[in-house]
Amino acid sequence: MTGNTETLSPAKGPGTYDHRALFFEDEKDFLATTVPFLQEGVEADEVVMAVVTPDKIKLLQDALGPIGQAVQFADGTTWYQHPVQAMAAYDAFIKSQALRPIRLVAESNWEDRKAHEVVEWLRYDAIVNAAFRDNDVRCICCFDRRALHPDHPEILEYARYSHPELMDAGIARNNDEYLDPGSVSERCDRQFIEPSPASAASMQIEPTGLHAVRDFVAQHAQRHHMAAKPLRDLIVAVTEVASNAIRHGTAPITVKVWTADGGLFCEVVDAGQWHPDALVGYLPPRSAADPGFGLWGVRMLCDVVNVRATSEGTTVRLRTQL
Amino acid sequence: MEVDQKVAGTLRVTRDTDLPELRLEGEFDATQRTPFLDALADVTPTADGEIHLDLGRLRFLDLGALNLLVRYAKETDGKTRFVLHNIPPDVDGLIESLGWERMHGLLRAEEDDR
Repeated sequence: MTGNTETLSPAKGPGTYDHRALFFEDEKDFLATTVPFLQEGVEADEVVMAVVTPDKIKLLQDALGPIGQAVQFADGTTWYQHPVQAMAAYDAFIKSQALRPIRLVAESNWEDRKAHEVVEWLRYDAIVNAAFRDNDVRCICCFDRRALHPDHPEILEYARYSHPELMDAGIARNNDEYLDPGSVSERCDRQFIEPSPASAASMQIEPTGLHAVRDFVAQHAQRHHMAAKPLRDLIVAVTEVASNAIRHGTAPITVKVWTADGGLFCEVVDAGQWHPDALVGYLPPRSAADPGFGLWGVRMLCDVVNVRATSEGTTVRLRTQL
Repeated sequence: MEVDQKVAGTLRVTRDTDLPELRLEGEFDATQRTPFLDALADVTPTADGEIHLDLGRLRFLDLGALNLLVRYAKETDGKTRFVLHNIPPDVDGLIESLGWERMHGLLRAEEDDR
């Protein structure tokens, strides 16, 4: 194992954003990098936080000893439930720290991720680079090779696209495979998704028919016993998507609803070819007056939102857990 | 709640001489901006820039309506603030989910403070 002082140098100055991926094989490997990183932050009187799985919280607390009292711990399984909400939570946390430097050890819970969630978390890891690049934040994202989902080898591939620096076996190196966040997000959009089934219920949307869209979707959601809060969120989300299609898209505009894999899908299809910027709708807006607020709100309110523009039209698909 | 199908999906805005001066009833989405903006045009804010809205009978409010209110407050003169009375639980939950800190120019009425 290489000395840890080497892995953490050269020290970066204030105002820098630093997002590294750590690939580790065992607890010893994990602690060898994260403990000195956190200790250095505490000694420099920085805001120091670890958002990791409960077993890693215990591990870090034991290894840090008394200095660990200066570290804020949060359960990663709670924090990382929804990528756009997690990004908003970090945004609020960073703003609440009044420009103090922040040091973070982060670990997502890949083991339990479903296929449709994996791609959104891979996108998240890229987009945080755009969201927080102007902040004084140093983050090590930890990938436990033992716990990675065997069906998703792309997790490590995308981790290389999303972290400007990689740490493997205690050695930090610049990452030549790093891609800008917009490119990674576009790659995520290209992942295959099943077309809507022929059995999906569908209705044509009239330009003044937003109430009818809400009625149509609510009836189907209630038939599948969707709880009150997700139903409220879905109705707000589909109203926004339908409003966008009326404003930016081309008739005919159709809304479709179906269920699959424990989720209710709701899709708005129009014949136009509008497409939002790759990052719009992911970055937390400062204000509801900002142009990206609507699509960001939709992403906050649904589990997954896919936007696809093809030669045949633009499709926005919302997934809500039943 | 029984909803008259003729007015389903519409927004009705009534004016009162007391505060809150505008009472919103029904559904406020992109198709229903005109009745709101027409009523708003007749309102003079209080000396400290407040416009009081009663949302007690609002059944639905969309993201576009939040964007409209915040933009209006920002673009008028930066001093205008909408004071929201009787916020329905669904609307309150929506704003909480998206963050009051993003709703510059919107305030919860004091008597509604929890």
